[in-house]
Formats: sequence, structure tokens, C-alpha cells
Amino acid sequence: MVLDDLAPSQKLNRTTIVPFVVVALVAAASVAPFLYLVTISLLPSTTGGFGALWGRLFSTVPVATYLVNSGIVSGGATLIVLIVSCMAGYGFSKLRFFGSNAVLLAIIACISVPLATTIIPNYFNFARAGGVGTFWGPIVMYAAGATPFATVLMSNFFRGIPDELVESAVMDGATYWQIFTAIMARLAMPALMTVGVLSFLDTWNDLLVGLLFLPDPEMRTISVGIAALQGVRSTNIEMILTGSLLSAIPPIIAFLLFEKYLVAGITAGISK
Amino acid sequence: MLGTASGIASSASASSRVLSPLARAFASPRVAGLLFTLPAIALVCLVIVLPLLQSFYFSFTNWKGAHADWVGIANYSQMLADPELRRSLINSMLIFVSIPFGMIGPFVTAYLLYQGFPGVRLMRSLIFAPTALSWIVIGMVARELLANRGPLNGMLDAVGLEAVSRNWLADSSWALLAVIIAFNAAMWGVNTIIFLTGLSTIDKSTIEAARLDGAAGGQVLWYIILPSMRRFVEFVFIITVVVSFTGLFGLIYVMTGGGPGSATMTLDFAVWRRAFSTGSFGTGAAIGISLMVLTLGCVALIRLISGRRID
Repeated sequence: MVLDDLAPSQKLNRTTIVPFVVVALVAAASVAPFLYLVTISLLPSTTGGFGALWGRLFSTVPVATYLVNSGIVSGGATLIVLIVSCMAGYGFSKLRFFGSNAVLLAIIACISVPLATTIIPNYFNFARAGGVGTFWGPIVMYAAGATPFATVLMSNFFRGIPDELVESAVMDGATYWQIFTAIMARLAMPALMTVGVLSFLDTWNDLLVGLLFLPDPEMRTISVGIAALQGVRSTNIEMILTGSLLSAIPPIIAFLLFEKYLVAGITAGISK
Repeated sequence: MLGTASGIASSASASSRVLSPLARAFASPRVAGLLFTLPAIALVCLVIVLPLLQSFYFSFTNWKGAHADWVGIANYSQMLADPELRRSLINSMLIFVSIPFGMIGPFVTAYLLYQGFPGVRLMRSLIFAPTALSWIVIGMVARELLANRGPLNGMLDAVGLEAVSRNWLADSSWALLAVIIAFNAAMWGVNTIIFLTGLSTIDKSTIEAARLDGAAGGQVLWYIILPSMRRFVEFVFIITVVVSFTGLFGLIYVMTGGGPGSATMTLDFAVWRRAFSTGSFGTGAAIGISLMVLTLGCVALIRLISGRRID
């Protein structure tokens, strides 16, 4: 399932011109919202000349803080997911213990538990544990939400690595922990990239958990901060749109850098 | 490669002759397996399994934050009688029905990309790119395009269709249609990529052979391509349905706030509104549990229709 072997680019001729035009229109429509946001954010508005909206956005709304907050939350959650799922994937596929397959199946089943179903008890559990109004609360929340799929992905990856690799390292006197850090985690780099980009995008782009777990305006993530601008009378729509463009820049960079890993992650769930 | 790997391992073991108790525990494959998987198991138990059980329990109580009394199935039986929740359920089902239609565009796009032409890779990336955007951004753009003095009405007025232009999101039936279109449009890119992945798994020689035997383009599509795309069509249908049921909170929150009235509320939005804006946590929990059952039911239905064993 590699996308890089798309049909070799044929020359435009009578049979390829129609697909070309139709797809070009779809592609144009796909980037239109983005270009629209860029244009709105740069054009002179009621508040000033060319590009003035960006200046006003940064001076009137603490968007820099919001960006840092989002970075802390999605970075923290992604780091936890990477470590936890890599370890679990190795354990479930290479170091089977009594009941390990049943536990893995239970974790797979957890993929289908919607966030909306567990958010109410989670909110109260985290509040009791002191996790609401702190960064660790949403970090753990997001990390746990991404863990089931990431664990399945990592388990599938490690299953493709021959058992002999572990066995021969054990013969040489390595412990399982050493095999994990010196061999397995390194081999798993491509799968970890997939897990990382999926987890980062999901966390950065989420609204609900940030809205509930970070009530302090100073701690808002960029998504929550931008959504909250809607309710503020003094902010005009152009500035809100500029803010939402700002919030989209890190995910777009992540997309540009890791597109192929994202494709791998999305299509990983297709049952054989 | 095996040699290098074990080389690394043996040099690592030589440097730590004295084993700590933890390292000794890691010596048995079974114990090590349990220790390696423990963080994931703990996280999933504490943040998914336990809250799921709590939610199930609270859905039978009138919990409003302080204390919870057992009320049996009252939360569930009142759900269908509550106009707002009935509306949410109907809306979720209407979005469900829209999805097969929403899948046509991505399928055609993928099929055309598959034909190959200059710039095909760039266009594939551009079409896929909106997948990186949050529902907040998508909702903001959709809301602005459809605003009373927004670009859509501007265009309608410019071509003399003032009679058609309206405040789209303030009109209850148009608002729901707008959310449905925004949702399906936002899924276009990711679904195109999944279909394209499916098309790339088809053996090209089969298609070539059929062409040589004189099969027309339409016949190749119908008899060879579509049958081998079945599991990809099923997959796209399932993930789109799951996203529509469980992931639309952000889009609706910024695009319509569930309104006008409750015209664009979905079940996942209703959980938030009931629990965190009105404080009825028992009802919220019941909606959350119903949402999960409904989602699993719809996924099972899709698998049944596509003629596969449910597993």
C-alpha cells in the first residue's frame, strides 16, 4: 500500500485532459479555504492597512501564550503516546504472557469508545485528582485517548519483525529492556513517526478536552482560545479568521513534513 | 543486519554486569511482557474502561453534580420524549444518510487521479491537505462563507439571485444542510486518499488483460475495479460514520452552536450541552452510552450490508 507508485505521469492528451481538469478543480477547491484565510488576514480591514490584522491579533489576544500552551499539551501527549505504545507494541507482539492476546483485544475494543461517552466521569475523576486547570490533566487525557490505536499500530509493526532477532540478542546476553532500547525502538522509527503525527494532529486540533480541562484563560490552547474569540464583542470576524489561520500553521507544517506517515496511519485500520 | 543488532545488544549487556532488581525482573519474557505493556494497560483502564463503567452507572441516576439517586431507565426512556434529544438523534441519522452520497465525489476524484496525468502528485497532496485542519478552522470558514453578508450571498446578489440569498445558518433547515455539506466536504480529502490507496492495490495486469479483451472503460470500472474496492468502500463508510457520530463537536460548536434552537445538534454535542451547560450529568451519561451503542450498531449494519462476517 505505497502511494508513491502512482501511475507514471502521462502527457496531457485527449484521454487525460478531462481527469486533469476535474481533479485540478477539486484541488483548487481544497486549497480555496486556506487561500481565503490568507487573503482575509493580509488585506487592509477596518482596523488598519496591509497585514495590520496580524499585529493587532498578537497585541490584543495572548495568541503566543495559546500557541505555547498547545505545544506543551500536544507535545506532552504525543511523547507519552510514543513511549507507551512502543513499549506495549513490543510487549504484546514479542513477549507474550498469559492473557496478553485477550488484553490486546480489549485495548483494540477501546478504540470504539467515543470521547463523548467517557468525558463526564473523566472530568470528575481528573478534577478530584487535581488534573483540571493543570497541563498534566489534558496531557494524560489525550495520551490515553490515542493509546489504543497507537498500540495496535505498533503491535502490528513489531509482529512483522522476525522473532529470531530477539532470540539471538537474548543468546548474546542482552536483557529485554536492552533489546528494546538498542534494537526495537530504533527499527520502529517509521511506525513511531506515524503514531506521532496522528497523535499530534488529534491533540492540537481538539476542542472539547481543552475547553473543559483548561478553564483558566491563561492556560487555553490555541483551538479553545480562537473558539472563545467568537463570544467577544470587540473582536471582528477578520481577526478571528486570522487567528484560526494561525492555529492551522503548525498542523499544516506537520502535514507537509510527514504526509506519507499520515497516509500510512489512516490506511492502517483497513481490515484484511 | 542481524549480526549488527546482536552486536549492539552484547556491548550493551557487557556494560551492565551488575543487574538491578528491575533488570532481573525483565529477564523473564513473561514478566518483561507484562511490564512493557503495563503503562498502556494502566492508561487505558483509568481513562477509558473505568470512566465507561462509571458512565454506564451514572446513566441510571439523576446525578447533577452533588449526589446521585438511582432512577432506573428513566434517563433512557425520556430521551425519545425530549424534543431536543429527538432532534439530535434525527440529525445524526440524517448525517448518516448523507454519507454514501458524500463518498461519490472522493471516489471519482481518486479514480481520476489513478488515471495519471502531469501534476498528479501535487494535486493529490493539495486535496489531502485539509485533513490537517481542525474542525474549528473548517467551521469558522464555513460560517464566514455562509454569513449574512458573506461571499456566498454576495455572489448570489451579483448574479441577480437576491431572492435565493438568505441568512443560511439562521434558518433551521438550511443550517443543518450547511453542516452536512461542510462535514462531507471536509472528509473529501482523506476519503480520496483511502480510495486511491485501494485503487493502487488492484493488479494492473488484470485491467490490462480486460482492456485487451475489448472491455470498455465502464465495464472495467464495474466488473473489476468496484468489486476489488469493496473493503475500501466499507472502510471509508465506517470511519466517516464514526467521525460524524463522535467527532463533530468542534465543527458544530463554532459553526452553529447547535442552533438555531436545536436544529443542528448532534448526540455528541448534546452530551456536552446537557452535562456541562445544564448540569444534568445523569442524562448526559445516558446520551453518551446511547451514542456508543448507536455507533457500534451502525458499524455492524454497514458490515452486514457489505456482506462480511462481523468480527
